[in-house]
Order: sequence, then C-alpha cells, then structure tokens
Amino acid sequence: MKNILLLMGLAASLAAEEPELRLGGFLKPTLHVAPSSDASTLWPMSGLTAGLSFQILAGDLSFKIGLDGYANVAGLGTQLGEWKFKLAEPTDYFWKAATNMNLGLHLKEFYLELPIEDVDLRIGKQVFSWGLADGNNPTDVLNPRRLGTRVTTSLDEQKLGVWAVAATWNLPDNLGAISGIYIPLSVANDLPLEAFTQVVFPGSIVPPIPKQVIEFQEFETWSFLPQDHEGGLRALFYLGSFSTSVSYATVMDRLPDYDRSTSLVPGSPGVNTTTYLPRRWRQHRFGWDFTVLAEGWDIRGESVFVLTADLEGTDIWKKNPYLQAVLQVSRSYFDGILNASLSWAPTWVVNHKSPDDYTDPNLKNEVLQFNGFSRGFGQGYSFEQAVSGRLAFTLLGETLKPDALLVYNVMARDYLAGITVTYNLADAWNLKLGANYYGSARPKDDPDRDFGPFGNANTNPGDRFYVELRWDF
Amino acid sequence: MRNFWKMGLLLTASLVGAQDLEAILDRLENQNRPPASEADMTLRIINRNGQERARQIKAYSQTLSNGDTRQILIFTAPADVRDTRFLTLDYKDDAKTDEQYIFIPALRRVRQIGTSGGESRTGSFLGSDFTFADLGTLERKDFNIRLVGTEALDGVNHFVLEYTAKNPTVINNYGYGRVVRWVNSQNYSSRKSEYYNAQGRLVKRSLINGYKIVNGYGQFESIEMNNLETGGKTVWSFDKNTILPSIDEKFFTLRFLERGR
Repeated sequence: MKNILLLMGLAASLAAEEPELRLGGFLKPTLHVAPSSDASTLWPMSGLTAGLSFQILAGDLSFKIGLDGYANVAGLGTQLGEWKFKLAEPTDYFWKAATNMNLGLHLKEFYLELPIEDVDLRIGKQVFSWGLADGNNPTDVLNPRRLGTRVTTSLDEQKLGVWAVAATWNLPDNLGAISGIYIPLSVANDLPLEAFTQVVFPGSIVPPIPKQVIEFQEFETWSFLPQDHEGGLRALFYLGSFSTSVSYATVMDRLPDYDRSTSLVPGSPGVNTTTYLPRRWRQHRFGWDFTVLAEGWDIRGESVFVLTADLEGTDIWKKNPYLQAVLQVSRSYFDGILNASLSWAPTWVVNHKSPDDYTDPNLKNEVLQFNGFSRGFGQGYSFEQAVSGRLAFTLLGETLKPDALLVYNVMARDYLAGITVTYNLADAWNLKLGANYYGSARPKDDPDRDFGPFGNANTNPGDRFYVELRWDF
Repeated sequence: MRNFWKMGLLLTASLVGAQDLEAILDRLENQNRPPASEADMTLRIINRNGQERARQIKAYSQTLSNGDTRQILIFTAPADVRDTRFLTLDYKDDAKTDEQYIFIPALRRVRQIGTSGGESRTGSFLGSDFTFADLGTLERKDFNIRLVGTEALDGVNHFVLEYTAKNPTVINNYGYGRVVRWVNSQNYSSRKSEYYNAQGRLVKRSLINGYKIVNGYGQFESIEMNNLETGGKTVWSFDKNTILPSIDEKFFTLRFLERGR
C-alpha cells in the first residue's frame, strides 16, 4: 500500500509539470588486432558497443534509464560452440559462443532522483564516482567492473551499475557534500572465471597413486544475502584550492579469494580431488584523498586501508589487510597544450608472507597457486610500487589529442605502454587509434611473472592495436 | 606608420592625463549589471581553413549586491559535449581567489580548474580559442595598469589601457604577460583586447561587437577571439538574452554543477 501511495505521489509530481524527455546515447564500432596471437584470436574484439539513455525530468524529480549493449562478432566465420548464457548480475545478460563471439546487454542505470531540501535522494541502479585522483582511484569500488570479459577503452565502460539507495547532503556555500549509500545486492567484478574439472594425473595401481583431479567450482558473482549487503559513507570538502574527502566503505571483495579443500576416495586407484571454490569476503575500506592546486602544480593523492577477512595473514587462500595509495603530480606546459604527469602507486600488504617464507613445499606451492589464481591482483609482494608517466597533448583546439602512458611495477618488474590518438572528425564524431604493449622484465619461465598484473599470462590481454569510431547522439 | 601611431598615443595620453586611471577602471569594472540573466549562446569555433564547429550553451548568471558575479554554462549540443557544465565564481574582494569548476559527464566528476592539470586555466576552453582564464576577469591586484592613450574606434574615442603582469605566477595564471584593452570613453565598455604572451608576442585579439544598453544594462551581441598563432577564431554569440529580476541560487552550486538540476 505504501508503495502504491509513493507511486501515486510520484505520478502526481510528474503530472504537475510538463515533463521533459531526454534521449541520448552513442554507437561505437571497434576493431582490435592482436598481432602476437594466433589466427583464431587475431581479431579479439571487432564489433559494436552502444549506449542508450532515456531521462524524464519533471520539476525536481528525474528518472533515468541507461542501457549498454555489446556485440563482439570477431568470431564470425569461425567454428562456434553452443551459445552459453551468463548473468554477471540479475540485469546483466551475456551470451557467448566463443571468446571472440559474444553479446551483452546491461541495465547500467535505472533510478529515480528526488531532492528533499538540501538532500538528494537517488534510488535504483546507479554508478558512483569516488576519488579525487586521476584515473587510478583505490576508493572507487562501489561499482564492480568488467575485467577481462570484454574489451573496454574507458573507465566508465568498465563499470557495472549497482542497485542502491544513495542520499547526498549538500553542504551550504559550496563547501562540499556528505553522502551515504546502501547497496543491498553485492556484485563481484565480471571476470573470465569458469567452472571446470581437470584430471591432472590418471592414477596408477602399481605403484598405488590415486588419480589426481582439480575441480574449479562456479563463482557466485552476486548475492542478496543480508550478510552480504554493502554500504559507504563519504564526506567531501571543497576548500578553495584544496579539496579533500574521507570515506568508509564496507563491501564484499570485488575479486575472489578461494576455499581450497581436498578429498580422497579410496580405491584402486583412488581419486584425490582438490577443490577450489571462489569466494568473496567482506572488506572494510577506509579512504582519504585530496587535491591541491598551487603554483602551477596539480597534486592529487588517494589512499585506502583495507581490512580483510584474514587480519592475521594466516590463511594462504585469503587476502591480507593492505594499504593502497596513489600520488600524482601534473603540470601543464605551452598554455595547456601539453599536460605531463607522474604517478607513484604503492601497495603495502600487512603480515605478508612470500612463498620462500614457507619451508613446506606444499604450502609454498599453494602460495604460488594463489597468486596465479589471483591473476595479478593478488598479494605477491609485501611492498609493491607502480610508477607511471603520462604525456597528454591537446592540439588544434582539442581536435587532436595524442596521449602516451607508461606504467612499471617495480617488484613484479612488468609494464604497460599505451598510446592513443583521438581525433574529433566532426561534431559528435570521434576517431580513436590506440596501441597497448604489455611486457615483463622477468623470463617467461619465472613463476613470479604471475605476481604482476601486466606480465601475468592469465591477465595479460595481449599486445594490441585498436581503432574505434564513436558517434554520440 | 607604427611610430606615427605611437606618437598619436603619446599625444592623446597627455590629453587624457587628467583622467584618473582609477576612475576609468572603476567605471569599467562596475558596469551596471543585471541582477540575473538567462541566455542561449552559440560558440562557433572556426579553424584557419574555415571549417567550423558549433557548441550550443545555456547560461545563467547573477550579480550580487556586493559585486560578486556567478555564471554557469551548460553545454546542450553537440552530443559529445552535452551536459558538460562550467561554473565560475568571481569575487569582488581581491582577498578571495576566484573559483572555476567543470563537470565532465564522461568522468562523472567535478574538477576544479587550476593552473595545471587536465583542465588548466590557461588551456583551451572546450576546444575554443578562449582559455578558462579568459572567462574570468583581469584582477587589478595581479597587474600594473597604465593608461597609455586614447584611440578612435568606429568614430568613438577609446581609452587604451595596458595591463602588465606583476610576476611570473600571474603569467602562469592568465597565460599572458601583457594585455592591452580599448575601453569606450562614453560607456566604459571594453571594445577590443590584445593579448601578449610571456615573451611579448601578440598571440590573440578579441573584439566585442554589438554593444548596446538594454533596460539600463550593457549587453553585447558577440565576442570574437582571434588566435593569431593558429589563424583560427572563436565567435561567442548571444542568440537570446533575458534579464531577470532574480534567479534561483541553486544554479550556482556544485550540487547543480554535478546533477544538472
């Protein structure tokens, strides 16, 4: 009854003023070439990304629907398997016939926004943007992301919307805002994890060695369970040339840890099964960030201390607490034509143990496995630091924008070099050419390659060139 | 010819010597502004080959009783810049630093415009020949200002004022080492400005066209910024301008900047 009254109230509000309708979106055909791949994956993504948004504005109320569509048709003409259906979350639909042949439809936004005095209330599926740093935002975890399941070329494309109730209290005199967010549906990052069973040793009767089986179980990527509900609080202040925010988020880890168990079925030969169950544990994330604009410098910092389920660091298969930060310094030259920035991003893992800290070879092997399973997002080192440099040019009155980026992980000794050139062909038409090169200074047979995000064979999406044309309407 | 022009300026400078520079600046900076206005604007960006891009803007502005001014620009077209919003808070009090903020829809974030970073004050304003700094005012505290003479433009006598940056920080903030302005001696409106870079080279020239008094308030039809280095220009024109007795304060908040409502 309450819901009906609320709906009637909203309908009355919408009817009170002539609503304004806004329709917009984009189409983005993309072609990717991976020169180092074999012929079957030479074109890992060639297809279309599309976005459509529909907004109704009536008085102070607004209602928005945002849809994302994705079609990777690079596998056309090749032998396809059966179309498989997957839900990364209840309103994210994905059909896959091959790695390079898949379709996706995602309800990214679906919310009602209403102001009550100085408070903005937004209810429904939405996207949040936390963090004052540029691009690398350790506090920005309220939305899960697509990692490795589709090719994306912008941060916003990576983000999945989350169902949430968000209230923002806007402080007077443009001082800032305090926001509180409640997320009843917890969703993990969209990862290319699939259940499988693999026989790694067939077993033998003489000598008696059991059959060795690895079972990798299904990753439950979303949960409505009350114990998995999430939330966040953030206070953001604009203080002249200094801005800062403090935040707290309690979320289920967006990346999985693992429950590992073994079982032995006696027989001749027996079956020894090792089972891995991807699981997510709660994280308490305490964030702080700032921006200082002074004397021609733009200085930004962002940090988060994360309390995980394994506070003591005793469980090999769970992440330890950690501190993650980023410090960026940038400066413009030639009247804004060139913006040069340097960034330092350290991560410190509490109670860290490396494989060499274990004398038991089985335990040592498990640590190596965990870091491999974590696909470069694990905790391979007690202290890791990424350094990066970026040169961004704005030429011909923002018509031409070349951009070069180099990121190097000091401990993992792997790197990413990327170049993009964006050209504004005409109003609402933009052409982007890009190239990414991933590498590692470690030899290919070095197991430590699995500890870094760019040298890791599982996460390394491969060197590639891409061309995308974007039309906004 | 150039020397002749300089001589003319010197002569006229002596003629207007009695004119109090402070009084001219006071009149220039304290033009009778409407308490509020709503405008539809077009920003036409034309490169040296004559190719043109256009941006449609909705603007709201407000002048407070203490002389502070506020303006918000909302880009409505084309689609790739739609919903980009830009807020300027200009304080009359020299002790307070003016503020500029931009909301970029693709990032879903508000960013303050500083002297560096992705959107620096001296960088291009959304691809136009205006910089973010050009959208603000030339603060007296930042410049040594001189009346260098008078010159007739369109048959009307204009004071020629020279603004010289006091230090390198000011040059960093504005992008110019020197600015010369032509100020109408009858209505004290700015008609033309020439902008010199740190090395003293003339880099840009702006012209204000169609100045008129409407309901007691000065308005102009367009401002044209010529970029002498690239050969391009940007014409910022008013398609419609409505003077309002008052305006909702919400337009000039970071809340509006982020939400658009």
